[in-house]
Amino acid sequence: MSNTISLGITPLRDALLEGHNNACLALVRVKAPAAPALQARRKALNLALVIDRSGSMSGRPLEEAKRCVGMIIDRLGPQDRASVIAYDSTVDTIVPAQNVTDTAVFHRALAQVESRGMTALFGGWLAGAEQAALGATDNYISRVMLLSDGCANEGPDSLEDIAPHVSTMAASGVSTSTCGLGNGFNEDLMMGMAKAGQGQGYYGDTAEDLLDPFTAEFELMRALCARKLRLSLQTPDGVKAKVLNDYAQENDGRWALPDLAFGAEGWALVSITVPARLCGPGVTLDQLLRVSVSLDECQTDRTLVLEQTLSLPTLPAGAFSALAEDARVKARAQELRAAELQLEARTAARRGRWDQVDQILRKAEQEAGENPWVAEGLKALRVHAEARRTEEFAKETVYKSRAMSSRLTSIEEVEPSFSVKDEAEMPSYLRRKLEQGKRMPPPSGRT
Amino acid sequence: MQNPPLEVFKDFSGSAEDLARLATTVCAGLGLGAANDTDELSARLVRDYAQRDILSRPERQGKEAIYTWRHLVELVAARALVADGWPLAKVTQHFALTPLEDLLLLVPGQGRPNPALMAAKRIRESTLAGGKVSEPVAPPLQRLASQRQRRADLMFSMKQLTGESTQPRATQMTRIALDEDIHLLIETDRLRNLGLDGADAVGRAITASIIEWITAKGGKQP
Repeated sequence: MSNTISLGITPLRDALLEGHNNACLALVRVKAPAAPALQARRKALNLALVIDRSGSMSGRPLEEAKRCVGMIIDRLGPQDRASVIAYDSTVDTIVPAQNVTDTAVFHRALAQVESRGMTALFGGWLAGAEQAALGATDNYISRVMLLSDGCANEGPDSLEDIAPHVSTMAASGVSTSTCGLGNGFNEDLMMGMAKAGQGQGYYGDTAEDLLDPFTAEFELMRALCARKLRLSLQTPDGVKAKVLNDYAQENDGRWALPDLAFGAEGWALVSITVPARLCGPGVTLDQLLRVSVSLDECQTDRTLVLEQTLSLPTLPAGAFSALAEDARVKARAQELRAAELQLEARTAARRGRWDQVDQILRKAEQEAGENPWVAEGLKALRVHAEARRTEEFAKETVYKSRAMSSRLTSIEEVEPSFSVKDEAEMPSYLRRKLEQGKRMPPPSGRT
Repeated sequence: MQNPPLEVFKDFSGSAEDLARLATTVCAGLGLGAANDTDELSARLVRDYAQRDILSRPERQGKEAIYTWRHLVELVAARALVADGWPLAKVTQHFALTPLEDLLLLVPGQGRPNPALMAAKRIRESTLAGGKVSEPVAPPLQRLASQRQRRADLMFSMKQLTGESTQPRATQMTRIALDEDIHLLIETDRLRNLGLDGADAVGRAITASIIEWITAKGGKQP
């Protein structure tokens, strides 16, 4: 198996339809090695763990949050750095940024955290960003992990006000992941911060579901293989291409793909439109799509630029319709479509238009076809819809939609198979969950 | 991560005497100037630098001027430049257009503050002020930024030429005629040891100096 990062392009069909305008799909895959080279050193982590200790976190939620932070601390080593911030109406850096040489320091401080007050979410995040910034060098992967169960109600509180700051910090080397808890948090704000912060967005339905996101986040950072993946597309005159995933497009036109972990693939589904005048009989369109991905390798700090081109011949209608569709490309297209429809359903649910929600879900179920992960996920969503649980439905659709449009996939993933049992055996950050806010059953043989 | 030494004194606040005392210690630690010569780095000198606008205007508490970490950076950076042979008038010119974080770079052993720390600081300042965060290089600041860059180039070239030495400058000079009306005067000892990189640095220093001169005279921008 290759021990280098590779780039591939797979079209939905291996040809264009002769004499017609063509709108075709191609899957761009950035594939990581299964594991780091033996001699490679993993990059140290520099984490700021930010806990909401507002009144609503009282009891089990706060205890569970402290347990999750403690779990991460215990898994860090002396080469890693960490800080812990607790916020309510006020923000306290209860453990300033330091190398994790003595975990007892962290546990003692965590034990003192008690719930009280309001939710100065931005202040908590900023204190975390400042602590992470102290160690934000090329030697570390620097990240703020922000937990909240409520809506920001002290200091800046809107995504519009907060996201630019989070984005600035990400561009400066400190990314942000967020984790919402329960059904009182603002999912637009928390997911928006994660997107702007080039990190991950998670949520736990209950305190018992909180460990899953923390574990996934920690294991993902531990397994990072490449960062700052930027995708650019080039096409010949007359041909247009665009990325269909919900990835941010930068000012220079490049798309920001998620960080890549060992054993995983980053991907983008590209829509290509080709005018009929270019699709003459017997023509092969050379370099119909030229893809370039630049990335920073975590282990070596090298910047790599990978390039790949796609060329397709034209075929007459009969031969074209006999071509099989690639199962992987088709499955990703179904995921993206389901993601889009779920967000539509969420908008309808927020307006109280449950009749529309039902219609959209039916449509999504039809279009999911034989994609078992999408179909099973929609079933779980329907439970919330039928019970008219707006908050639960809104949160699950936002996070499920995000997972379907930007998830890392396992290099072992075979389309279109899916089973909960198999997923539970995967690294936590690669699991396809049926409900994003629920913990997955432990892998067999473990409790 | 190693914190830059001057960061240790980030909470400093005191009188001219306090600043002079602290700067003397810092300069000694950095191998800058005659650290034990209190006449050289005294409260009088602090006030003199403030008068010349090398140091930012200190805050006042009653009759007393209060100096802070910013003034410490400015003072130590100024001493570094003076040690390199820069005249005070030139130092004043540079400081007028150089942000504090760039002044830190003039102090030996000070790395560029990490961009994340600077970004976090800007966010903190802007949100305390209730405003938006300014981008590090906003379009209206581009001209200023290019001036800063020229100054940084000039500084870099000068440092290459003079090194970190605090020795008195040699007086024996060699004149090289570049053209009929362009002559270069250069210390003879320096010329002997210049090497190819040094020669290149001389070229860039000349370019930067001429641009500096043209800009100062309000001439045509390059």
